[in-house]
Parts: sequence; C-alpha cells; structure tokens
Amino acid sequence: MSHSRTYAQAIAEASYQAMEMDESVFVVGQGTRDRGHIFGSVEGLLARFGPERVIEMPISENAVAGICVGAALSGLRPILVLQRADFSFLALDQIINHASKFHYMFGGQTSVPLVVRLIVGKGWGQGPQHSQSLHSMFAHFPGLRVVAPANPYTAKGLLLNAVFANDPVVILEGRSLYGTTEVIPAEPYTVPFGQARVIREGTDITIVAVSFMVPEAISAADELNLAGLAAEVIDLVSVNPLDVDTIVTSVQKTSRLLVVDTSWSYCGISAEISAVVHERLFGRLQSPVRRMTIPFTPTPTAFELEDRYYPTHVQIAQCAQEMICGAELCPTGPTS
Amino acid sequence: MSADKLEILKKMVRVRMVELYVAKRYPEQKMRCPTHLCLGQEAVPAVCGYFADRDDIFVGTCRSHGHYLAKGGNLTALFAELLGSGKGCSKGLGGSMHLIDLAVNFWGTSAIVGGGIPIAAGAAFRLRYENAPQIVVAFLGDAAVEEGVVYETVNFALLHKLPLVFVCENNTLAITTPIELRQCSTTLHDRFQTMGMNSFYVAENDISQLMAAIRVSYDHARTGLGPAFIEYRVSRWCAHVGPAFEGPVDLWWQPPAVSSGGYGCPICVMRDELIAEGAISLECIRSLRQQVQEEIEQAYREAERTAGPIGQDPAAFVYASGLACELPSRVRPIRDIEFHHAETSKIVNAF
Repeated sequence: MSHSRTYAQAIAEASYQAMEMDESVFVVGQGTRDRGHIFGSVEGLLARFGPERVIEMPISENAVAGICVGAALSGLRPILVLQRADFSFLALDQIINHASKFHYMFGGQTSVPLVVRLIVGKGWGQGPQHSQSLHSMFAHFPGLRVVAPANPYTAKGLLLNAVFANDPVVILEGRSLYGTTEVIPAEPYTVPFGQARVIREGTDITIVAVSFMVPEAISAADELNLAGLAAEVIDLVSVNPLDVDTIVTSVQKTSRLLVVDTSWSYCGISAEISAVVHERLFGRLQSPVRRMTIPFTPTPTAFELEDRYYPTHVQIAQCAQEMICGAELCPTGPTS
Repeated sequence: MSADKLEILKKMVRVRMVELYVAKRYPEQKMRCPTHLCLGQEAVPAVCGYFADRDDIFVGTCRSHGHYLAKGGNLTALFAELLGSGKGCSKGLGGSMHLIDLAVNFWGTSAIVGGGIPIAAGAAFRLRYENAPQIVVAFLGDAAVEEGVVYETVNFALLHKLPLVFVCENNTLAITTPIELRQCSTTLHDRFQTMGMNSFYVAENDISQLMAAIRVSYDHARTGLGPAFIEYRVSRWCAHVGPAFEGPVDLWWQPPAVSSGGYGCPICVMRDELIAEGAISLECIRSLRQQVQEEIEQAYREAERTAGPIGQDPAAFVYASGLACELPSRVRPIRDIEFHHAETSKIVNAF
C-alpha cells in the first residue's frame, strides 16, 4: 500500500506510527494544540494519543530538552520539536553537553534515545533568527546523528529510524519543503542514517545538495541536460555520519564536485565534503571543488535581498557549466 | 528516631572518611581528574540517602562523591573511577565529575552547573508517565540557582506535579565567589515558594530539621503532590577542587571535651545528640572509625590492583546503536491518519 503524502504529513505519519508501535514514544513541542498542528507535522497525534503523550511545552527550550534527556535515559523515546531551528541554541547545553555525551562518559551504561526535530525557516522574511540551517554545527559533535531529509519518503523513514535509534538524533527539516508531495509507502519503514541518495545519474559533474537545495540542484541538472551535460545529483541526507563512499564513488566517475548547501560555507559541511574528496581523490579532479552556499551574512529580511540570498537552480547550473567547460570561476557564493 | 540518626551518622562518617582518604592520596597523582570533595557537606548526602528507597533515583553534580556513596554506590568502583581505571563506575571515561551506579539508581552527575536538574525532572516525568511509585532527588548548589534552566525546570515540575525533590546545598560559594556578589537574595528557597513550591529552609547543622524536611518532601512527592525544594545552609571545608581543606575533620571521634564548642561539624552534632540519647558511646564511634577505615583501605587496594585504562577502544561508547534501526513488531495494523490540515495560501506556507 502506498499513498500520496506531503513532507509534513509524512512526518506526522511517522510520529503516529511510532506512537502506535511503542507506548514509550511521546511528542513534546510548542503549538501541539494549535489548529496549524506545527505546520501539519503533528496532525492527528493529539486526537489519537491525548495530552499524556502529546505534550505542550513551556517556552523553556533548555529545560524541556533536558527533561527529554532524562525521560530518554529512563527508556522513553521523546520526539522534541522546535518550530525554528534557531531556538535550539537555547537548548544546546542539554543536547550537546548532556545528550551527546551520556553514553560515552558513563562508559556505555546509559543511552539517550532522543529525537530533536528542528524546522528551518525560509522565505517570507524569516530573517536572521528564524532561518538558520544548523546541521553543520550539530554535525561537529560526536554522539549525535544529524540528518536533513529533502523529500517525504526520506522524512518519514528517517524519523522512524531516529525514534527507534538509541542515540540522540537531530533532524533538520526544511519548512519550505513541507508542501512537497510524493507517493510513499503507507506502512512504517526506516531509512538508515549515513546514506546519501543519488537522485540523478550523470558523468560530467557531481552536485551534492543539502535539504531545500536538493530541488534546486535537480532543476539545475535538468537545465544542464538541455545543454547536453549530465550532472549526477546527490541528496546528502545524512550530515553525520557522512556517506563518504557514495560521494567519492560519484566524484571518481565525474571528476568534478559542486557542493550546494543551505548554510554558510565557512567551517560548514561543504568544507568537510570538499576536504574529504580532496583527501581521497587528490590529483584526480579536473577542476577544484566548488561550493555554492548562502553569503556569509545573517539572513536579510527584505524580500528582494532574501530572494538573492539563496543559491538558485540557474546559478547552480551556470556554476556547473563553468566548471565543466572551464569558463570563468563560479560567480556566486562568499568565497568568490 | 535514635536508630535513624545512628544510621545517618554512619553514612556521614563513611563519606567523611572516604573524602579524607582521597585528599590524602590525591597528591600521589594517581587520581588525575578534577575532584570536588564534600568535606563539611556530609549531612545532605547521608540524610537523603538514608530516607530514599533503593528504587528512588538520584541525580548529582560535580561534587557528588557523597551523594553516590550515600545512595549505596560501589566504593571500589568510585576509587577505580578516580584512578582512571576501566573497572571504574564509568569505566574511567567520566572521572570524579561523572559518577554512576545504576544498580542503586544513582543515575549520574553533570559537570555543568544545573545541568542535571532538568534530567532529574525527565526521570521524574517518566515515573509520572508510567505511574511508578518512586521519586527522584536532584542535588544542586547555590550557584545552580543562578542558572535559568533551574527556574525553567521548577516551573515544569510544578506544572506537571512531578515526583521530584530538589535538594539545594547552599554553601554560599561559587568556586570562591561569595553569594553576596552573585545573588539578589542570599536565601534561595523562598523565591520558589512564590511559584507554588513546597519549600523548606534548614539552618546549618540542624540535622533533625533536615531529616524532617527530607521525610516530608519525599512523602509529598511520593503521594503525587508534586515537587519540593529544600535549601540547606552548609559550609564547604575544602577547596572548590582538589585535596586542600581546612576544618575540624577529625574531631568527631575524639572525646567531646576536646571537641566541644560548636565546631561546626555535622558528625559531631549528630554524635553529641546520640550520646545524649544514650544511643552510642565514644567506643562505638571509634570502632566504627576503625571498621570504615579498613573498608576504605581494602577498596582502594582493590581499585589500585585493577588500575589501567579500559582495554577496549572507548570509541565504541560514542553511539549506542547502529545506523539502521529496527521497528518494533506490531500486534495490529495501524490505521491511516485522516489529514484535514491543508496549507491554503502561499503566505501561510511561508510561516
């Protein structure tokens, strides 16, 4: 059985099925009683499971994260959702100093099966504090799994995998992807961590894209195709661990790599991917690795400025074409 | 009552003597981790440990040797942990600041001030979630009451009536900074009272009052009436970290004539009460001292004998499970959600 689901519905469905399968799963967040159901991503949960398992949180991100850590240490499987990833900075002491370290620092005796769902805003002037893509920062810390699904199928499977993992998992969800529709299995299923997704096969260049840059990269590949160039598009999906094999195998074939990220290039996952590829394929690339990311500034709010802030499929296609054809260097991004 | 006091005295003596032993051996530089002793602060661990059931849960701080021992934590594993041994209570990966003994429900300690507080509330949340009869005791110092997360947690604990007892040992020092330079008020319990918390203040070395406050709070939490907060004023005799200390650590086993005059020692206070009640003699106390000393030396010898870091690669402890996880088996099919919510306009879509 399969059915059509939006990205938001896929998340709600995964949560629902996890809660049906295991009574230790509960959801906590702000806006669980709101008719918007956290942009639809918790729809149906309160009606089915009641207030004992769908918990409305005070605006106390750090305490609630810590309460989730304590509950997870006790054997429950909390899903903590924050409406904007930016709010997670208030909870980092618990997520990073505690959740990510408890299994290690107590010699493997305890574990923290915690899922933190973070929604990354984009568009409509979300501005500096409602639009940060924090996957690179979370990926810096051992002990966390960090994923950023770009389509409904992956969003559902990764959430189910995360709920039944025994480690803390941070899921970065693209708010702008919430309306994306796809036919997905109705049954519960899992998507493992650490697996990138090859979406388009090609031989001329590898484009690795993150989260809401994936649809842009696909459109760019379509445009390149019209120009007779075959781009291989990889949805990174898993930021920690990184699927080095899939990326390296692809770049071995194409000998060119363009990384398109929703966050900053400086100390970001695009830098890490570039480093790994250079370590593995030094001397075998036909052009330097390029990175297209947002400029190294906070997100502007003004419509026209925000519009120019994010890389577009046109820019991605142009950059790829220049890399393949040896024209001028890629004109966008903070390093150019 | 005397029987309770006697057991509490024994717990205090054991904590005191272990800490003194650590202080004595620490300069040998075999215990190489930041170590925060609780000399002078033995009363709270002893009283809280004595009245707790084995199934009750303790969550501690960076200064938790006493809490660990009073809950029944394994002494050899504590020494081994301080020695960085793979036989330590945290396999040598945590050290003095990260102690755990799950066999007695001592759930671990955080080296971040206030960090264990919401975790303790999370443990209490699970007890509530499953209608379990236990309670959780969260230890904190006065400095933790400067952390926002404590207020956030108190609010949540009250809102959800969690079976949680906050026990605050107010030693008035944050490392060396006095409370007057840090807080708008030097008493801590009263601010939580205004939030609706059952709060208690216990003066230094009023151990009978501490016993009463702990019993009431435990009962309160256990019967579903929600959390309680106890502030106990206490003196820290040791340096913030390391083996240095100043204080009447050895008066308790000497004749009261020598040690009379307040001395500020919780063990002396308890001893004098017990002697007055005819429940104990100085000979008993000296024999207790002898007995505990033997236990400590034997435990330390055992810990030293098995010292050496864990053999296995500690990287194995970074993650608890693999990349692909299994779904639980299902007893019945799951019906589909009927989705009604629809994003109707482009503008809504963008929020």
